[in-house]
Order: sequence, then structure tokens, then C-alpha cells
Amino acid sequence: MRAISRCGRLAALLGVLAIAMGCASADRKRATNRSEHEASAPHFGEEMERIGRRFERLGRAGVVRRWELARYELHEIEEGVEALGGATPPEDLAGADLHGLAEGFVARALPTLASALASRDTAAFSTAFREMARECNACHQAIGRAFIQVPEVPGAEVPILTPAHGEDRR
Amino acid sequence: MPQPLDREFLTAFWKAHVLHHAAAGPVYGLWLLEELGRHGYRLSPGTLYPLLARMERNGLLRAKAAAGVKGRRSYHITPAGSGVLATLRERIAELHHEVVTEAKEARRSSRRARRSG
Repeated sequence: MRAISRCGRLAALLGVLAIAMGCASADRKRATNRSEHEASAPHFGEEMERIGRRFERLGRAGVVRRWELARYELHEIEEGVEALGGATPPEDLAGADLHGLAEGFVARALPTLASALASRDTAAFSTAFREMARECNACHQAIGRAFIQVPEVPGAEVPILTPAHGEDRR
Repeated sequence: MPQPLDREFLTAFWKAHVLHHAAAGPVYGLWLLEELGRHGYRLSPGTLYPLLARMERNGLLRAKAAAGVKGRRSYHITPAGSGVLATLRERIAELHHEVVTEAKEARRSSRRARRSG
């Protein structure tokens, strides 16, 4: 009887150990998945930098009526903004709904510009570009990056770097 | 960028809309942008998302990972949000009565008085 009881206790102990090891293994797996995601996900700042360069080129292409190039840049911007939703955010934006911001931006800002490019209409392009720039700047403000301003006039450098738009105007 | 009218008044309208829809079921940002657009409010995502974040910080909404679209968040009304919505409904009804119904009636009476005088 005593031998059976000892066996039972041993079996219970082994069971507890197995569960504990299973939990530790799951934790390790979760941590690995998270770090793998962080390694493979684009970094938010780098993705924004690429989008900024493309936005500048989009404006310059529109000014010289290079519509095909402009359409290409817009498509790349769309992909870049969509990637932002899954990007690794900087620490201060860890709680922000970046996916929602990106999704809203793509749905709101891009279609008007796409149709202006399709119609090869310079005036419509300028208007749509201005609207998109305003959406960009509103998002920058929303995430505490109001100091990164994009120009509303196509063809200008991105971001605006002239002293008049800096915080120190002395 | 929010205009003075937006800052002073309309942000409260938008929040009431958000609570109203969140009370019916979980909502997400893009849907809210379209819904508010249907009511004539063309909000930028840069305006809506900070507003949702403030409502979440103030305990009126709770954000969760939405099913279906990876990375999307859905916003759920909290008990505190439901309480605020109930109060808002009463205040909106009272405000509507005074600012719209009574004002319309006063204008009608004034027109009648002018015609008869």
C-alpha cells in the first residue's frame, strides 16, 4: 500500500514538472516569435523615411507631368503606409493605433490623388497633393511628430527644412 | 488640422457618435471615418485616432485586436462609456428641444405676429 502511495506521489511530481517545463517552453516560443517578428517587421522610422522620399519624388514627377512615374511612386507609398501598420513602433508610440492610422490614410488620402493622376490633370494633381500633404501633417501631429512637416506644394523637398517652418524663428 | 468650430464644438459631437455606435457593437477606425463622413464630417485619421486614444485613456472605450484583419483594433464601449452615453442622450434631447424645437416655434410665432400686426 505504502509502495503504491509513493509511486502515486512520484507520478504526481513528474506530472507537475512536465507541466512546468511545457509552460517554460511555451514562454520561450512566444518570446522567440516576438523577437522574430520584431526582426522581420520594418522599423517605423525607416519606413516613414522611405515614404517621405517617395512623396517628394511623386510631387516632382507630377510637376513635370511624368504621370507614369508619379503613379508608380503613389503605389509604392500605398504599400509603404500599409506596411506601417505592422511596423515596429518607436517606444513612445507603442500604444498608438498605427494600423488604424495607416488604414485610414490609405482609404482617405490616396484615391483622390490616384484619380488625378489617371486623368493627367495638373490642377487636379496639385489639389489632391495638397490634400494628401494635409493628411500627412495631421497624422504627424497625431503621433507627436508635428515638427516633420511635408509641403503642400508639389515639387518641394520633403520634409520642409526652411527656417520659416522651424521651431526657432529668431 | 482641427478648425476652431471643430475644437470648440464638433469634437463632442464626434465622441457622441462614437459612443452611440460602439454601444451597438465593436467599431473600428476606418468604419467610423466613413460613418462620420456620411454625417458630413470629413475627419482626417490624424484627428480621429487621437480622439479614440483619448476616449480609451478616459475609460470610455476599450481597444482589442480585431478578428479578421491583422493589426486592426476594434473599440468596445465600457460600462463607464455606456453611463456617459446615457447622460449625453438626455442632455442632447434637452439641448435639441431648446435650440431647435423651441427656437423654431419662436420664429414661427414672431412671423405670425408680424403678419397680424
